[in-house]
Amino acid sequence: MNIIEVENLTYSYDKNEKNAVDGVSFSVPEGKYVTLIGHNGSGKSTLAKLLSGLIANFEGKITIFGKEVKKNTIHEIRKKMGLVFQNPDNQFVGSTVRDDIAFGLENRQVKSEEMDPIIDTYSSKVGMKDFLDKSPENLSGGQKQRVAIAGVLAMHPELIIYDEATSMLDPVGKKEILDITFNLRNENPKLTVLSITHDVEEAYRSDYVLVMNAGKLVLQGTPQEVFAHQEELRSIRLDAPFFFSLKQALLNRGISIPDEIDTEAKLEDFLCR
Amino acid sequence: MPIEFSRLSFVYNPKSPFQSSALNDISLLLPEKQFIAIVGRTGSGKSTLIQQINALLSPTSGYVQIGDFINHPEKKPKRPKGLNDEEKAAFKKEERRIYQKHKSKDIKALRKRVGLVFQFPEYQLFEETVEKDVAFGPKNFGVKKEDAIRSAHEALLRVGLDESFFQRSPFELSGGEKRKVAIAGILATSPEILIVDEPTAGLDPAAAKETMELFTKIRDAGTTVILVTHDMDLVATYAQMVVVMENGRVEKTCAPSELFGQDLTQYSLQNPRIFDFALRLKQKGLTIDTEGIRSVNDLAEAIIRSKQNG
Repeated sequence: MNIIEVENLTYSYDKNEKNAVDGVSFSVPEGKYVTLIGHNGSGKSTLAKLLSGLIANFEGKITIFGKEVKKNTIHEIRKKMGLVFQNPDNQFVGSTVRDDIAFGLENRQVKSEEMDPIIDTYSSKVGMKDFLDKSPENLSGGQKQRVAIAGVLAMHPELIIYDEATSMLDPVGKKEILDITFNLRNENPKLTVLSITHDVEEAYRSDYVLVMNAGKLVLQGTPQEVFAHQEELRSIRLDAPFFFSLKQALLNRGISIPDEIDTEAKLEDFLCR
Repeated sequence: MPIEFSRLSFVYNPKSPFQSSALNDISLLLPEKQFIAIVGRTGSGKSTLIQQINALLSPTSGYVQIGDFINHPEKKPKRPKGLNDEEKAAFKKEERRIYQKHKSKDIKALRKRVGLVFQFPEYQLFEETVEKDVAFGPKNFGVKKEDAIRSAHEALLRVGLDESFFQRSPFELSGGEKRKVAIAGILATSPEILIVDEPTAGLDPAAAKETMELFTKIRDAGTTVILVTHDMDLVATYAQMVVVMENGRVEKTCAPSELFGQDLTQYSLQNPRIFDFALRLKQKGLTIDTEGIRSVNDLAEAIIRSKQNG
């Protein structure tokens, strides 16, 4: 079953300018971790806004959980969807971290006696349990992103959309949040994730990669398939993950590496043989 | 203009339920005209530290001296008990040196010399045109309008935005272009020290590289560049000196090459990918020389050299 289906989606902010999203079609199957990559201005963030119903008046069709996204369906759809944006300041409502996580739960009429254990679980998962009684304003950018993510995870969404949600985290923090998300997906094989990111290493770990350029979808496939197109990716200002760059650099220098060497660990063993 | 921190501590919201200690007894000398990276996990105190340098925050105790300006606590500390006359005199002399009264024009002068580009600076753009937005800084520091516009044009060209951008609205630009406008806004005031907080967050790899090369050029032109980041790949490629922060303290100050190659997980940091991979090859028995490696191509060549020798 497809959780997201997008057909021929087109949108422009201004009739006189070229389309920010231009005839895009793709689908995201249930239980998959899909990454969407592209350079600044490629249309990724516009696509995120379209999917979350923040922009209406588009052409084409978006279907999420089997329902077409429209004014009268978006609230129903959002109940099962968690959104985390790049700048968490735009998302805070509570005066403490605890209130902020509780806000979403209150909206879903979770009973107050059930709330504390949920808040404890998710704040400790993202490493922010010690900060529950602090004011979000006094947190660093990366800590705010952790809180925003905890708030979304606490609501047990069936679909998570990240729009550059870990851009302010340090590499270890970034990996932690990715591990948490991958673990949640492993615990709940129905959890679907669409992550809009610049982090090619995250794309390398995902199930499926979509690549956007100038509003169009230009490549899609498994990480192995997509990152084999290094020249094409470079021409649209995207890097390859470290593994692919190194493999290519070795190939260019006349070292022959068999195709079955497709992970960093295998490459280490191969080079040390 | 060097920057010297002396036993500086800082507490957010002291004596309130939200009290939290952010910087703890920092003593640190940052030399001038260098490319300096400040690294550490989120919440380690990096952003708080840099806000002391242009006096957006003032220390709770200790001080930081930037050229002839000293950023000190509002209240003078009590003189410790049991000092002899000589010590009392020395204490008084030091107190007089540190606790200069600042007029608002002194702080303004400091902020002209120390330019600070915050995280996501594009959220601070506000004027109708790119040119006006960039000229706002110098005008605010009392530069005549024509001169401010001229500095704005120069700064925009330096960040790679040509004439076609000058009269456009900053709000219709892409994220990467907006960030360049914001950086130009600081460059237009010709700071002697440029502090940039996570300047590549949210930028695609190509735009990130352009931005870092711009900072290198600015350093080459004689400006101190202080980069706050947790991207160790940037540190490996661009920085001359690295300051490692952890829990509000300075844990280590050294050259990047000295830092990489040891276990950085204690600081919640990772070695740059190239060093990380080279280290794992070493552990698996390949003798590989990591000295001077700065890119994937350097690594590939080091691997090939070690295979030929082995």
